[in-house]
Amino acid sequence: MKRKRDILFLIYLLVIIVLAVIYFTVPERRMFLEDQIERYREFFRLVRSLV
Amino acid sequence: MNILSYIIVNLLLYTSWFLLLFRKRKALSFVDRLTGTFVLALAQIVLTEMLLGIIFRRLHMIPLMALNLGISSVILIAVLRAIDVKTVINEIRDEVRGLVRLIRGDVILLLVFTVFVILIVYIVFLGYLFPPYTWDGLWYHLPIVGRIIQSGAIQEYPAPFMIDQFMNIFPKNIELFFIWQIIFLKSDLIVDLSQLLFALAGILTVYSIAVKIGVDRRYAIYSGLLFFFTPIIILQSKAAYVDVAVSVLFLIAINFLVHRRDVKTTTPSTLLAGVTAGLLLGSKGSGPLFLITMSTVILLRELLRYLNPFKLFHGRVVDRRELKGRLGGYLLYFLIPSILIGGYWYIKNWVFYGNPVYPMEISLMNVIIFKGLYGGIIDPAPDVILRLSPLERLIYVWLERVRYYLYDSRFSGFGPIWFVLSLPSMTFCLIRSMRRGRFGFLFIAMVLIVTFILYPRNWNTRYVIFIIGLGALSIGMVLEYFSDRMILKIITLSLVLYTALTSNSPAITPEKIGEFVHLPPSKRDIVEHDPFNIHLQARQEYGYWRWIRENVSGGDTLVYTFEPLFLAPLWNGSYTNRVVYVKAGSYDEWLKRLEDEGATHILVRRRSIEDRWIRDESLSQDSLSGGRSRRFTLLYSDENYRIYRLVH
Repeated sequence: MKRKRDILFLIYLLVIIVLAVIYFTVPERRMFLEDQIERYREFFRLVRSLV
Repeated sequence: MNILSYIIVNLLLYTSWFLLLFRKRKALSFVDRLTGTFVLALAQIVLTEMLLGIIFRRLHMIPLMALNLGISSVILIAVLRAIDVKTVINEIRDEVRGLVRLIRGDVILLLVFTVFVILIVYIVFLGYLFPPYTWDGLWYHLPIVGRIIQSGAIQEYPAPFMIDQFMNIFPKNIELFFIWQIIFLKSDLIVDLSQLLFALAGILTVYSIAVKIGVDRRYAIYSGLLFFFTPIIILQSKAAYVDVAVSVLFLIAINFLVHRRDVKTTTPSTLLAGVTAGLLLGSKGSGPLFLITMSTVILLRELLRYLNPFKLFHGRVVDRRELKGRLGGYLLYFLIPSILIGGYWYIKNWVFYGNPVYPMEISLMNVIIFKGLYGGIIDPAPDVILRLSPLERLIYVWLERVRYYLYDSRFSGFGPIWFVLSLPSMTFCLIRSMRRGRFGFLFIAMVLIVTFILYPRNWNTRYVIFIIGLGALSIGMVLEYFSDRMILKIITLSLVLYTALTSNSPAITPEKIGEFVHLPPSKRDIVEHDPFNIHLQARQEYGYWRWIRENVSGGDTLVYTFEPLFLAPLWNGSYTNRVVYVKAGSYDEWLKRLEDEGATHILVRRRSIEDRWIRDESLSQDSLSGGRSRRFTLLYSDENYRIYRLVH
């Protein structure tokens, strides 16, 4: 029973890793993340100015 | 005073229903009574507004408040005689303690919950800081609200433009809830936070479903919270849209149709499902689809229990008499209440337009049953979508090949939790449930998946938010199954953090937040906001929008003479002026109509016929009005528009 669960877990983990790789490697993701990073730079500048 | 009346009327409304449902605590869990309270309060709001707006044509603040205070007081007096308030307080205290204990006992869950609380505070802060800015909100959701508030009546309005026709046709339950957020406060400040309440109700609902199908409470909390960590839900929580509301009502109705095994009577739960389904039916034109799928799956479930093919239902089969009784119960407590509560809009359309779902044409095997204007969705799908097969469309959108999230994005919205965790979890749970005969989960999955498949344009995430409920439920079940695997929880937390940090609207930038924090509340308008999603089309309208907001007072009547980009900015922020479209073939006829409408302000396009009429009259000092003292005074002018004051 435990062995079966271990195998199932490994398969599940493998699937979600593959899906995560597919999701996070689409070409647009890089631009998306760059924009988000820029947004947070701006956000922290704002917080500093408010403090 | 406005804030006080809003607080009192809401406090009594929600308290009365919560206490009433307390009497049904043997049939309904604590969480179901919370969502039940929300549903019954919403039903009271909608029905009292319909009563005042349709029958009496007196949908104004005082009658609405008096009626609701009256209803709530009667319920409270009746209930307080029958229950001990101390027991209620003890129950709330015990439930909160239990919840805190569960969350504190799991570090990852505690972190997810902390992120959730921070996000809620942030959304409320943005809701307070920024005015309603979303496209459909300004285009028709809020104008529907404005028209009803100004006339005190829920009725058909003249429809000179296509959007007016749609505003007449759309079911309006959620707009009635928007009215509730404006009419007491005399401000549109929090109206676009209305859907946040639905999002919170969605969390409770997913949690409750999970508990009912046997998921441990800790993992049920995971499910509930994960439902919220969806970009489209986070962004629409501050948007005057109806998509989250519609999907959450659907989930609530399903939740009330899933009965705990230990309860003796299912009537209160089924009745709450009926009330919810009625609210859902009257919230969007796609309402009938939800009702039909729910009813069909219920029918199928009961027939399977009766026929018991392949001996599927061990010890839970029903005989013919029971089957009749159960189906009768659904008819009486589910279907009839739902049609009574939500059917009005369709009957009204049938009477006015000869088609309950006008302008959609309904035909069966080339036979037209209800004549309409078109057979599908009028808005064309993007080319990239049209080139793909139905499955490819879903994958394309779920991969979110976009640079940013938006409250109505057609190419994104479900986030990584859906793609990475929900899809494999759903597959896992479906296979496992089929093998183990977990019919509770299969019933829920069947309703949601069938509705998802049948829903037109199901690739558009905002139309099918309900499917996220199934995903979140499945993740909770998988986390429970692999409960000893910390890595899975860490992956979940990582995706939660990613979603929380990236579900930002580019329409609300940190720079704007900083700017708005320093502005006095009266200056925080849409013009100052200048969101990118409307900037290109709306910037030339900004001048008169601001002028109207700052200068048109309660009781004034603003007449417009052309099709504006958005109608909502023609109302001042408190929705206390009237907005009327007046067009005529001749100057005299136009003047007469202006007088009939009691026009005080006239908004015209420069160089339009009305502008020329007014300019001509100003030039001829002695107006041609037969001695009547009628004068137009120019109050506002820009490159494209003018506003005149009409002195009678």
